[in-house]
Amino acid sequence: MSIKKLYQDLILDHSTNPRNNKELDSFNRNAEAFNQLCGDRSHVFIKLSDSTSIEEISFKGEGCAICIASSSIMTEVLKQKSEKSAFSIIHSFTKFIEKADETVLSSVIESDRTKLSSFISVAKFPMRVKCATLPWIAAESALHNKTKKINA
Amino acid sequence: MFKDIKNQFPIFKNKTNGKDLVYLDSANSSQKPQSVIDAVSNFYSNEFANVGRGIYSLAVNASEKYELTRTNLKSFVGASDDYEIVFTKNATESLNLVATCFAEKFIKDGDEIILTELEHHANYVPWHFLRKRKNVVIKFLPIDEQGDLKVEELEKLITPKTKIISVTHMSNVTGSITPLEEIVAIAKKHNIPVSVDGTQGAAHLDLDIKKIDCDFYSFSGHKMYGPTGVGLLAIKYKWLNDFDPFIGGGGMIDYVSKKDIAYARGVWKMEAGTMPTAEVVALNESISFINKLEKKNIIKHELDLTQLALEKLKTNNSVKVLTSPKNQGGVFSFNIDKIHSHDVSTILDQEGIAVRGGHHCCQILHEVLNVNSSVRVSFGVYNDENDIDALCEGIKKCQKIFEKK
Repeated sequence: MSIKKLYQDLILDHSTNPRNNKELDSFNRNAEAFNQLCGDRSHVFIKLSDSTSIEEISFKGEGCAICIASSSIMTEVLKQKSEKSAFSIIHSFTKFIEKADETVLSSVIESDRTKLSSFISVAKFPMRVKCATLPWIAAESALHNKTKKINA
Repeated sequence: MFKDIKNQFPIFKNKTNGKDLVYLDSANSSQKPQSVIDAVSNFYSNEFANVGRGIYSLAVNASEKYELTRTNLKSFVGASDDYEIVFTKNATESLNLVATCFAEKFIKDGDEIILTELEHHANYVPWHFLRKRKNVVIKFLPIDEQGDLKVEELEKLITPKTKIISVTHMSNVTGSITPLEEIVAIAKKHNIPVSVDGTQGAAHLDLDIKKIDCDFYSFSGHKMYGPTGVGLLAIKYKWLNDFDPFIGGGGMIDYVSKKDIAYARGVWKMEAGTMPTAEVVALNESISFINKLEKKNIIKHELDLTQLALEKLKTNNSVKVLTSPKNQGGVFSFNIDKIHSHDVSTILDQEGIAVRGGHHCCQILHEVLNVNSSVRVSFGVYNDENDIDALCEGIKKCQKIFEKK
């Protein structure tokens, strides 16, 4: 496994220049996940509309390139999605990372799928899987309105 | 200094990610020489029986071997007869025993315990349990800018309510060595027992616990080229009767009736059930291994490598070493500008270099130093200058991957 495949351009781009990396001015859902192994943390903020779609989503946190890129790409992918389809994407992405199986992403729209599939190599580095899933765990908890800090 | 020593460690015959293994994680656990591996295998193949029970020859011989390790460990730590050695699972268990089976007996609500900002979680969490149960106050002796303990502030932290001081022998993150004799001298003035987390000290530092005069010294077999599953707790003899057994069962009792039970005397009351017998027996080989090389040579070897590594890393402006202790052992940690320790660790791994990234079970210290995590380099007898060159090259590779496109 080449290290370049893990640190693809899209991942490096998002990790050095993360999008939506702030606390939202107004939000009604938030949760923080924590990786005990390295002390990384991801705090996700969501503004859910009355029609339960994600109007705004952002994150704050500390983490490695994989974790920050995953947080950043996640906010782009989940923005404007319905709560239901957000849960479905979160579930698919987690399964995709754990199993290195791109077919689980087939239900995700193509533009999102391209971004998410850049994490394919993470599965080859089992110790790094949690780096990629950490913000997603936080987002899922936020959507469930669980604000207690999660030790992921 | 130790020419061809890698040949004694079979792990170095294998490739890791297609590269020669550069093992820089001995503070986490050390690799095992063939003699220790053979000792485990030989005991099971030719000498195995449960110890301290049977009176047939095989059992007697096994018991003697088990006790021989205890005797040799005493001289290894410089303990003489003022101390007893108890076998545990690991240093973590030893520290937990000090907190639970000893300190808790004397500690009341509102009492105080002193730890330091350098402590590994293994020497904080057991005391936190106590804090939860008894409402005690935990105070932390701070570090200075160089990362050394401000021992001069210890006196100020001590009050009539201070019941125990528990400190590390050496930081597993920065390599800062604790001036234990100074700390014990201050504690003694106030009649406070001192427990030492010797996890990093035992294999890498000059060790004479009689001179240190601490009350408890905890360490692990697996960090001194020995097997996993064996921990050690040296207890000052005068405290042995005050120590309550933690696990009850066979092997730790003298007399059992329907009404009452008398515990075994001495260390045996602390070793219930079948112990990691082969591991204890093999640990004797790791003591021999260290003694043959001689501790003073090991200390010099690891210190020379540390200084060389720090000098070479100084030429790289993006590398920031966490602290520069005055008195340092063979461990240090660093960060590369704008690159997370986990990314560094993964990239170095692809080059065959094993380092630890993260907070190394020392979140308090990382918080004090205001960093989220770090990359740790720690040396053992098998490391050499080539390993440092590999590390420097590996670091450049990390920087190249994260260079702005």
